[in-house]
Amino acid sequence: MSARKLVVMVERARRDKIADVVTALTQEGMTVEQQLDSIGIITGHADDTAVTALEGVEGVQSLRDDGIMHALDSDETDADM
Amino acid sequence: MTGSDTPNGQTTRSPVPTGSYIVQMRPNMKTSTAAKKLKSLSSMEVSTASDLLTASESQPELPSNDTIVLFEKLNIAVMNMTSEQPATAMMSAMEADADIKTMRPEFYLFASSSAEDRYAAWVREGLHILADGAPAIGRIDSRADAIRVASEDASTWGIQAVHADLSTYSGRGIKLAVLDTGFDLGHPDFVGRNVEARSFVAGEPVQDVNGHGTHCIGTAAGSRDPVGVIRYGVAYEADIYAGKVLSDSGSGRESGIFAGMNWAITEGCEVISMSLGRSTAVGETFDPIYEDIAVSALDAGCLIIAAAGNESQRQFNFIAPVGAPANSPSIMAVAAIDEQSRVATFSCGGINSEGGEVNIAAPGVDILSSFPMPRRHGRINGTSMACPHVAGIAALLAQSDRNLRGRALWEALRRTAIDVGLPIRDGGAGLVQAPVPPAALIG
Repeated sequence: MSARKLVVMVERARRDKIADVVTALTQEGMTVEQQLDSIGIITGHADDTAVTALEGVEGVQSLRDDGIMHALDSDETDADM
Repeated sequence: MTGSDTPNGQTTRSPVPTGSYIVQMRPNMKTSTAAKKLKSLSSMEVSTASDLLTASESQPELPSNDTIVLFEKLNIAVMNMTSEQPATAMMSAMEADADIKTMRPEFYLFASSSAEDRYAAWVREGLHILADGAPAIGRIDSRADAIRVASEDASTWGIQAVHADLSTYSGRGIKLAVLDTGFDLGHPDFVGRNVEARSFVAGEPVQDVNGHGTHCIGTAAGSRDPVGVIRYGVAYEADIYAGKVLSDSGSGRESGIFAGMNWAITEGCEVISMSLGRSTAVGETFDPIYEDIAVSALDAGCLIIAAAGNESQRQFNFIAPVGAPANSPSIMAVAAIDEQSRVATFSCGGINSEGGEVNIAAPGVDILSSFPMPRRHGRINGTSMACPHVAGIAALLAQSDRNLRGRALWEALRRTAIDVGLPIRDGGAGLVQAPVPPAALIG
């Protein structure tokens, strides 16, 4: 078993009851770290083995692994002013 | 020169052959058929890219002797020629063969050509061929109608190009969020400004050690009269919301980025500037999560603006697709231009559809802005630097008309951008422009 950092998008129709989705995800084995009400996102982590059950939770629109983003500067042209 | 060494002191500005060759195979060839054909024509050993990756999961192991690497999914091969072999007859035979579509020298794309860099370059070559089908080296598109920029006596060339210096608006009363590496909260150029700051990176405070975030905030909302330096900020009276979503090393988890977006929307920000992202592949579609968030934001009167990405190598005719999350249809993707209104060599292009288009362009080359103390100021290149120019202008427009929020603000930015001769693929609607009284433009 290995832990995965997860991002869950909640169906729009369920976003006024996002706490219920959090509860259901917790019951299916997810440790919820963030409940982002304004954008309908829940983040946290769970074991690999729990993912299928988490995807089946009522109100879950999609579930995927947390990713990485980077700053988008190309390079420096001048060390100092 | 050998195929695996980098010429000493060579920069990336002019094409330098590596000694190897890029071979594009006839479409739809089986891997085994292509490998046999290449071996029979060249008498060289042929490996596939998947063979090399299997050999080492952490880093592709590139062959050092005369061999051919076949990128089976890209339908191209790289002839890695490390010896001074008399290859003229072999080359002629290959060029004449019906299974070889095109063939040309490979060129260095990086100043420092590590094994990983060369692997990445080969993949990029393949993507370029798939995208354009034209693997020739050529001149970068030039433009006919350069913008007029005076010397940087009073403000940066970017401020002048977008006419922020002529605008009567300052962004006052507008909440502008910059989600990045944080902010130098003690920077002297921002004394007295309204700043809300929060970190979404575990274990790291808002204070910017990297510099990228402070630079972006400076461009979007820096002071009109910074001490000892020319003006570099667009919306100089906007309320600054500095969300640290990238660590001091310049990278961050999406869970932190989502938290930052949620914070900015909840706080009622009219504009979110995101000079961050990841590269995408040709044909890749947008991430539905970012699109969903962007739609929610627009519904709430918040416009999200993102940097298009820096993966292009236009000096070699390679144009990379707009990265994520800028490739979401409801997020405004910003390309970078230089002082002559040429698209920046690194700026990603609108190759993919369904949101993968460039929406607008802004200054992104040799951009002066704030840096964390004690350095104070510095110049950087990137679509990261173009993005906050647009965010700052969005704040000016939002101040000019309270109806300009969300989709209406997007439309206003698009409508008021000026054509600087760039193809839509590279510059979208054109160069972003500040709201300026007509009289200010006369003379």
